[in-house]
Amino acid sequence: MTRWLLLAVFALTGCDGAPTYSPGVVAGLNLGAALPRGFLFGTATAAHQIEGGESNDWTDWEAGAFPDGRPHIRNQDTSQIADGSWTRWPDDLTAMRHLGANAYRFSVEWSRLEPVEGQWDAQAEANYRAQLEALRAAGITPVVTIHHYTFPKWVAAKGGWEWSDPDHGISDAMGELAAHLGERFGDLVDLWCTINEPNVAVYEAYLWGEYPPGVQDIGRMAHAYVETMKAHAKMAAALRAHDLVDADGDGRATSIGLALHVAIFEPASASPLDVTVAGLTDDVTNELVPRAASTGRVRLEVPGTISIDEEVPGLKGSFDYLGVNYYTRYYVRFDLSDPALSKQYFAPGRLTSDLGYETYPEGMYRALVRMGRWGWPIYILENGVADATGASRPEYLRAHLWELERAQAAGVDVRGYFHWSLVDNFEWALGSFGRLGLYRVDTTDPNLVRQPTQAVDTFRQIAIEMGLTPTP
Amino acid sequence: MYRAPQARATGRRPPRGEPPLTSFYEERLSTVARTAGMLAPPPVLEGAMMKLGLLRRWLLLAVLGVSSAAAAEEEVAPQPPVRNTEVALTLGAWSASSAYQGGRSGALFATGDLEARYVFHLLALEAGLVTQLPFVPNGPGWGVSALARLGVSTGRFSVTAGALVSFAPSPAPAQVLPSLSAAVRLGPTVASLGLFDRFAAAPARLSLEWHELGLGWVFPLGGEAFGRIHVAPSWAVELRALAFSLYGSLTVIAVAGIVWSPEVTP
Repeated sequence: MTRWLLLAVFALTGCDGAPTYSPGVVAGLNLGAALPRGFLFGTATAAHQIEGGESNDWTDWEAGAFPDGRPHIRNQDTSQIADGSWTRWPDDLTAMRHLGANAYRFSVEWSRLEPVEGQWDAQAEANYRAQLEALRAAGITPVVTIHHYTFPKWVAAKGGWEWSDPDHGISDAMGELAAHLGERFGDLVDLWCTINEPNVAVYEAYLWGEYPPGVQDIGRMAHAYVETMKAHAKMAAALRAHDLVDADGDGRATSIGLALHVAIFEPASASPLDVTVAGLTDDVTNELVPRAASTGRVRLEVPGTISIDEEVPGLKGSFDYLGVNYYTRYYVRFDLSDPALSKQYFAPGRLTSDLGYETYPEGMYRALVRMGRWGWPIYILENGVADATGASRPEYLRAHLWELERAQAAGVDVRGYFHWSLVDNFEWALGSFGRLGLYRVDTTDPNLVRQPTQAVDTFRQIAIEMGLTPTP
Repeated sequence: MYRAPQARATGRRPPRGEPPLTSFYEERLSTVARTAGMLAPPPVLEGAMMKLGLLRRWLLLAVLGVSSAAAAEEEVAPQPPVRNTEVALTLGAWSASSAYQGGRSGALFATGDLEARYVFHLLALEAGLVTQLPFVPNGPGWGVSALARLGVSTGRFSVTAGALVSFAPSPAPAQVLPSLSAAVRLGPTVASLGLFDRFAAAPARLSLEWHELGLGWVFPLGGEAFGRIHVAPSWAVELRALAFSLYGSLTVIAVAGIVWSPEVTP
């Protein structure tokens, strides 16, 4: 009887105990002091967004070289300059040292390493190797992302995530890329992130049509999603086979995971249709990947549309950690006119970023507690705010760190926090609109000087509390 | 030829040699057809009306056919309408949640539901207003749904159809959904089905009512239970609970309230 009463109470309340963020409380705390020794505290970037001078499917997307013939970037911006980090990476390193960061997550650009199928570029490899060596020399642990949204043009020409040749498809090609990187950089890298945000990658490219190849087809989205999991499995296996050097002396040559975009989805109202589509969106976005890595099967069910249940060899056991990219919360409304049967909105009356995203630090706690239930150690691989003035970033950073510390105190094994981003960068389809950098970069300045925003001092203070030593 | 409804109601077959029964409905419909014929348009509109003629005739036949059937039922078995005029106001709790690995995410709302039905002769007009207010701020938002249905209510059956409009905090747009409620008397029980009729929420349901108690199934996995206790002439206390799971989401609603039914006495 008691059990049924408890069940009834739980069904009626149904909540997961979200804490309420209080700016007043956070302002007086010495954030960072409670974080454990070895906690990675750093920043994150992606090659296409900072290097400049790329030539890949995204540069075609920018230039209108896809079949629809139109450019797809806001204000027709291009990534050709970005932050110039391909050559100015020493400036980035100086910025990291000034922050006191002990870790840096960045991606390698496949189109630079293998511009033509089967032909590896030694100069590009040397450039990345020099960056990795410099990071190690500065006491900064590198976390290398292998795929961050972009494909070489030759891969895009074969279909990108839909390159499904049974003898040699996209997952095989990405496995070979990972093997190559494991061999070449394994002595400097232990922490590998195979794919950045496979969920967002397939939504944007195959459901919303905002990223190349600009498809709006939920069925193709679902199959691309499965391919990302196959690719991850093959990349993980390849890294374990080819990176045999323990670079940081912790007794393990590799620690492999991916970066999952985790969002909080609330139903826009108590309507069962809103609750249902919010739950389905949540499941496909937040649960599919960890469930697949836990069971070895990709299960994707959209009522009346998609039913996939496929075993992926090598997927089970492929995670050493789960990377979480957390930004915001969405309100989900049932909408028959949308290919996903729903549309997403931001809460009215809340603090928002320049991109309109709600600032919802409580979501960091909720995301961590929830993802912690899967049992893997967690790294926050991205968290940040678009803020052109830089005025709201200090509190954003502190509030999210506070929620992270609360989750850790609640027993979640969180091992790192990477702020997005080190420098302002090329924000994909939004071009230069979103300014997310701790350091401001004016792309009209020929020297592309990294100028600190207010949050740099906040970051440094937290680093000092952690026992790290920022340079003056 | 017109036969007394009672004869039809007994199911008596005509004796051999007697001319076949012309049904009451056929009688009514032939009257309708004649009426339609008398409403011929003036010559200047004849061309346009010719194009609409078939549609008009079918619509007219359909509407009058339903009303004829309803009237026939009244004549066959004079009983109080399956659905009477009434006003119900209930208050309670509404939980909406969805499952994930090892937990649920959701919220608890206070809900208020005002529903009214007006039955005039055979015509039934139903309207309702359902609200949900979250107990905890900074989670899922409030909601208001308004519904309106129009139809008939006879001694044997009732059916009303209309629309449900739901509002949520801006910028989420209003949602418009169909709403249907139907009931048929089967001896001492009433079977009913509905689409988005209960609390403007249950996507589909099938229920059985016996006297003042009811039990039902809610699509795809769920149920409802309700009961009324008469406390005074025309007044009753109503208790109602509904729970259903829809693709991983769980909605649980429990309310209590009062019902005023001027034509019903305990």
